[in-house]
Amino acid sequence: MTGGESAPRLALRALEKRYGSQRALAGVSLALAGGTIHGLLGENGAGKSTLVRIVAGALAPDGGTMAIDGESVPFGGARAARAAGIGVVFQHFALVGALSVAENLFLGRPEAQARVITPARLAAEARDLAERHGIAIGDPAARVDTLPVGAQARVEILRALSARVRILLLDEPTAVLTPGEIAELFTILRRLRAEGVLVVLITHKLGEALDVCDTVTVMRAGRVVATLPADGASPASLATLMVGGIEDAIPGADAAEPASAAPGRASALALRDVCTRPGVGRVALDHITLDVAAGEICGVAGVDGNGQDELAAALYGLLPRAGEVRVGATAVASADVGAAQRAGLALIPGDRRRDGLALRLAIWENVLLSQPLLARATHRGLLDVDEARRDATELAREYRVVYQDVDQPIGDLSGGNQQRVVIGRALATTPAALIAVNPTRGLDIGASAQVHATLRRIAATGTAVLLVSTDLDELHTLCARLFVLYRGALRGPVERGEGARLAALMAGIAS
Amino acid sequence: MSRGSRSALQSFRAVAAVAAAFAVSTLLLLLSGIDPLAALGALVGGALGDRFALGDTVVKTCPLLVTGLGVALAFRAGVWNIGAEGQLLVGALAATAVGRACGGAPFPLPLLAALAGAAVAGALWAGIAAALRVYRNVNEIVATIMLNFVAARLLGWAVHGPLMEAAGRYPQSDPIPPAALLPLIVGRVHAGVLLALLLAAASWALLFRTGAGFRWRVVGENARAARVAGFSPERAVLEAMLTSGALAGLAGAFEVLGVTGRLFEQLSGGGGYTAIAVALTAGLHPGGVTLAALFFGALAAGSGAMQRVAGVSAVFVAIVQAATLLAILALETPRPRRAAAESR
Amino acid sequence: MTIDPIALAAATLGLATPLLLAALGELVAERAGILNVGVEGLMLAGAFAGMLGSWASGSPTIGMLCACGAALALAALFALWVVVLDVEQVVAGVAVNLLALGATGVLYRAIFGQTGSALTVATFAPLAIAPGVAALAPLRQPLPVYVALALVPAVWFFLGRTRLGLRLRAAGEAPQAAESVGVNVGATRTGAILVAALFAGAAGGYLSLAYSNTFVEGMSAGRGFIALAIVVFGRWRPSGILIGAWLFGAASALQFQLQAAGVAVPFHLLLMLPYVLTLVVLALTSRDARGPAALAQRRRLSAAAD
Repeated sequence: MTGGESAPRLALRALEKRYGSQRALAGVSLALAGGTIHGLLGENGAGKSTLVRIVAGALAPDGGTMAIDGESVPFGGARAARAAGIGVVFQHFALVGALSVAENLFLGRPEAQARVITPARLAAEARDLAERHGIAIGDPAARVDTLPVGAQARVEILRALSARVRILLLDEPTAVLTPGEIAELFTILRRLRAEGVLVVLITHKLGEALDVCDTVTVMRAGRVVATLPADGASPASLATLMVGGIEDAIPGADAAEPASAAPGRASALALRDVCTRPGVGRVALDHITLDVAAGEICGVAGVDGNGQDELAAALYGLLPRAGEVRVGATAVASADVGAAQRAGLALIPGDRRRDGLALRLAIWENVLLSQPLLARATHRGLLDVDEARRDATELAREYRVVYQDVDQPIGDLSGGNQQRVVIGRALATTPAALIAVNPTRGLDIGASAQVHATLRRIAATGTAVLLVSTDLDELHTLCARLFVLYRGALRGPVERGEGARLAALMAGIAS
Repeated sequence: MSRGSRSALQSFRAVAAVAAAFAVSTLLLLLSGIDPLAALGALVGGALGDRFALGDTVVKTCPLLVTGLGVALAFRAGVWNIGAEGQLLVGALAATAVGRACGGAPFPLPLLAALAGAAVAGALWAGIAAALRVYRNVNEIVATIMLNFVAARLLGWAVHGPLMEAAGRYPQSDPIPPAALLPLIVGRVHAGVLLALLLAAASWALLFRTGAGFRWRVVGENARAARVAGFSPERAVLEAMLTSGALAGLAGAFEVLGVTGRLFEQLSGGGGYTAIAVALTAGLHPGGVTLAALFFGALAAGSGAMQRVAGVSAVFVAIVQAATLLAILALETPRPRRAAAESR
Repeated sequence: MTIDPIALAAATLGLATPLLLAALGELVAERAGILNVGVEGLMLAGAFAGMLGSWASGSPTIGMLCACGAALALAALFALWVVVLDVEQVVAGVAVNLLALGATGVLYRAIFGQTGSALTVATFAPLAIAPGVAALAPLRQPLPVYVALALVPAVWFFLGRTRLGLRLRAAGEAPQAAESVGVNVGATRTGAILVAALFAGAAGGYLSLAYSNTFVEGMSAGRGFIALAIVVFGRWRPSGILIGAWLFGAASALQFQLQAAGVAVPFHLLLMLPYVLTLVVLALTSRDARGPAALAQRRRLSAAAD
């Protein structure tokens, strides 16, 4: 640690950033010492990522100053930030998938002088770099989009370290990693700390922050709420700081008993030996057999990229599959969304912007984004627009969507309100079985609590819910039975309280 | 923003774009040493000056309107149909062939048969590109452009070969029998103009008041979300392209059955490409397409007079079209950026 | 029916050159993520300016420079719209085509009046390679043909073996990721558009200064559009583009030869041959073809959808 007298490694003063009327950063000041690991905590929308992007030079602030080791550093773009010794690992890895590992590493070094490059030379440089930092990267000529996410994360970190780094920022790097990969990452971070680097780790996983960090800063609504040593903090005290003491907005794990299947109830959703083919960037499902009873919320845990999207897509007819899927007594044909919908399946897609909404279309039009609902609003091919508007208004009231006008483009709504529309639409068909993929991703605690209540309510009315989520807290809160997806295979069930076994299954260690 | 204020904004953009286009055109004329008042005066006079000029404007509007509708439908479904030109030509070819083959039957049977033949021919021509995209992953921009060239050559072959006039002097067909022609309403204005207006209303209803149109629009906005919703993007692409091609085919039929009365090579004069500018100026809205087609139709009608009177080449209107298009693009409402910020 | 292989080879090389030049330029733009449907217009502007320059100076070289300059100016406008204003690239390209068509038509008549008589200008002469050997006659081509051929490895080297080429490819595959590591995507794309314009302008100049010795309205005759098809056909690789340009050139040359040989197939159906061939080849090869990931995507829209 640097002495108390010397200037902090990174000093931020009064950072301001606005998006329209929204204040993403409202006067943030921080002073962080070198040779430490600092945790930056906060809910979605607290301003963590905005802060990182500003320090990294990816975003210009509306006001404020930055100093490194006492020297004022202007906000001057990615290249200048790098020259000042700032390295960044972004949340969605900023790698170019179609290029090779070596090419990505070279691209990340704007100061690299070579104007002419050959694959052999790039590969040699990449190996050199990997060796110097003790980070394994495998074949430097491999295309990045063919690598598993853990390997991509290592490439990204190596790239950040390829310049002489005084400050390393990591924006939620662990979201896509297995526990083993996370431990490996933390080893690297601790080594960097020992070398005197300031490591800033952005995360919303409280346990993780307390595990590896020396000090922790909590942000809320664009402001710093507190900076405190990790030693004295507990997950509960940090959570309270993050949400601002609105205790009733936090759904405690004991707030309600998880929905469980009454013994002997019929299976409402049955999977028998469901398999899919592998593809580019796609995991093959491996003989998945599962029964979800009517009224049950059955959880599927797993690190992102282990077949969650493929499972939802295969069940909902978006991906060809082998094996049998039944909803009640109805067999569902493969690769036929219409058949899945007719059988009584509904889907809350994991990426609502990509798969669930047409952002420039009106709210009422997005409510019709489902063949059964469109058919209901269409009479002899003609669309009853007034009826559709009324239905959308009704749905918005029922799900407490905040909006001005059902004719307004849905892209204008906040993420939480968009998700309410997506969920309301999925449930408007009163499905016999519902597949929900990360239904609270990107939502704040209040909106998440509402989603959880909705899932409980729908289960209570007899719908079978298959909840696919990467959020273990969410799964523990809602599900009595948990399974784990690992590389396309389903493991489990895991009972509540078997945390160690769950982690082992997610890491593919136990079976 | 309410629907009313959005459409008001769209109208404002269109008017502003046209004004900007005329400003740029005036400047270019000045730079080329041409008196802009004389040239633009001749242009306006040739388009709106008297009954004949007005009639000419209406007649020139007709194919632009119908092809513009077709382009707008395809673009709404997210298919870049650059092939209205070729679809129009095969429509004209089919209308001529059918009209001549069954011209002996009593009116209006030959006319109806010719129109139907043109619509089917245009739809099939567009269908080739749609099928190539859906089943073979061929980029539709490239495919429709290639098909435009093939259609032009096909037409050339027809008027030099099987459909060539009996006298064998010029590369054109013999006149189409009267029973297959569109009746004239007033002056040179033919009944196809009324049909075109009906088609505009029908296109609006199709897009905004039917389940099919809704599916097309969703596919055009977000094909992945459409698939999850249970709307097949492939089906929407095929449906929208077939409809788009049928409209362009009808436009070709209107030309031969209502204006020229016979088939020859330079029938369209690039109208199928202008249709793209028409559709985009109109914000892909059928009502707007009607107005934009009228504007571009007036330009086409006035350009002849401008060339005669002021000695400015008739292709000058291409500059006005380009300037309008560029101005419309520049005035496009910025997308909401909030969404990007909030997800961080 | 007799086909003269030597004449066929010569005609193929000549006909392929403008396609090769324009397609190589379009390749550079597309690898940077820019789809320029306006190549046709750039070629037309090049053909006109090339003729004008040669007419005024008496030098085809100066004409060629004028051709490139005119295309460059038009492309700067395109870049302003698609890079700075971030508008739909296909639409801006359509506008470029209309603009070039109108501007060349108006200027041609303004400068040369409406006389139908053919205006001829100084052109590039065929190089005197192996004058005595009849079998090498196809090699006696004007200089631009060889420059175009030399550009094939040059573009390959630039894209695959230089730092700038790597950055350009990154801008076309993942602009946001590229930006985050300090690649100036806007500048890179603008540069790519301008380089592509030089190529397209040269292709146009070739038409009026080497392939013929005059300008006629609309003389690019769809070659720019064919160049777009050739880029897809060549799978975004210089070598593939060379093959595509030669194939297309050969099809056109063959069609002329068959016509001259008086084959019974109607002339207009032969004219279709290159286009139909392109469609057939694309139908057979596009199934798993993959262009640059960010091709023709608007940056603001893709950023919002992130």
